[in-house]
Amino acid sequence: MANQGHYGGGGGTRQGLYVMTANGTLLASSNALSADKALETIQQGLEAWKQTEPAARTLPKDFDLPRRRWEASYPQGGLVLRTANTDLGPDADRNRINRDHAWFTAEEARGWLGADPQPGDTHTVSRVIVDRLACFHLVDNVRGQTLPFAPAEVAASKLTTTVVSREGDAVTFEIEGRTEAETDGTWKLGKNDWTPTTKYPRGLTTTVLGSGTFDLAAKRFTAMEMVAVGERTGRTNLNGRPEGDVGPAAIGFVLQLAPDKPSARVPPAFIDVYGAEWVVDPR
Amino acid sequence: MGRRGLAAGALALLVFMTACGDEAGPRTDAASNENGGLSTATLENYRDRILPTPAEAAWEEIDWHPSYAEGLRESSRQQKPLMLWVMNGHPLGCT
Repeated sequence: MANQGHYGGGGGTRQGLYVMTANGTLLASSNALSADKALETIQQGLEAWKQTEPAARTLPKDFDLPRRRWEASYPQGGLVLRTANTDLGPDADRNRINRDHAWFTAEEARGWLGADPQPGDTHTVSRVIVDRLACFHLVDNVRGQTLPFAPAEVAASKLTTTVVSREGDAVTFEIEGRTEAETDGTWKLGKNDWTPTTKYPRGLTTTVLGSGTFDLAAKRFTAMEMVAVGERTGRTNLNGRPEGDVGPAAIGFVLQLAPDKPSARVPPAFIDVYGAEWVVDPR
Repeated sequence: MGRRGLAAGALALLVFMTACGDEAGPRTDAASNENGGLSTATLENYRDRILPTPAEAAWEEIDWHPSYAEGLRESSRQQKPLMLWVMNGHPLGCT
C-alpha cells in the first residue's frame, strides 16, 4: 500500500501519513511535519472515501498478516516508561521532541529497590536497568533516528534509590545518579539492522533525579518519574545533526509511567537490540 | 476539522518502520552550562520544559492502534477509512 503513496515504489523511506481503505486502496498520502498539510491529506482521504465502493471498504476474505510482532514481547506486569527528550539551551529548537517507551519485565523492574526496602535504605539500581536506560533511551534522537550505545560504553553509569517512606505496601523512593556514555564509534553490538557503515564518535552524559512508588503486594509501580539533563557530543548518520552541530550541547529527558492503553504498547525503538532473553524476535 | 472530528472520521493506526531521519537544515547549538543545573529545586522546571505541552501532545489522546493488522480489521468492521502513520524510531513520535 505504501508503495502507491507519495514516495512511490522505489528504495528508501516510506515515512508519512496514508489514508486508505481496509482492502488496501490508497485514498491520500503525504509526508509533512506541518499540521495544516497533514490535515489537508486527511481531508483529501475522507473525500476520496466517499467515492469508494462498499467492497473496497472490507477486508478480503483471505486477509492475513504476520501475527508475530515486537508488541508480543510487551512486559505485562512489568514497568513501562514513556520517554520524551529534547534539546535544551538558549538556541534549542523547542519544536523537536521525541518519544519512546522503555520496557522492563517485573523481575527486572524489581532491581530499582532492595528486597525489603525500609525508610532510609539506599540501593544501587541493578545493572540491567542502568544499561538499558543508558544504552537505548538516554540517546540523542531528538531530531532523528540514532544509534544505541553498548553496555561497555556506559559502564561508568550508576543510579541509586533511597527509600523515603514505607506505608503499608507502598514504598516511596527517590532516584539519583549519573549516566556516562562514550564511544569512539567502534560498533560493539554485533551485526543487525543498526550496524553503521562508518564510525560515529559520540557521547552523552546526564545527571538523573526522580522519584517513584512501588506497591510491594501488587508488585508494580504506581508512580515513577525521572528527569535526566546533560550534554551530548557527536552525531550519527540519521539523527538529523548536521556536521556543524556536534556539541557539546545540552539535552534533556523525562521518563514517566506509560498510560495503560494500546498505543502505549508500541515497542521501544531499540527493542531488537535490547539483548534480553524475554524479547522474542518476530522476524 | 478539529481533533475530535479527526478521531471520529477515520480510524487511526501507527506502524513501526525503520527509515531515515529528517532532512532538517543545519542549526547551531551553543554549548550550554545547563547540564549541571539539575537539582531538586530545578527538576520540575526542567520536566515542564522537556515534556510536550498538552496542546502539542493532543494527538496522544487518540486511541491509536499500534499494529497494522488491528487497524485493518477495525476499519473493515466499522466501515471507516484507516489512517496509517509511518515514522522511524518510536512511531508515536516524529523523529
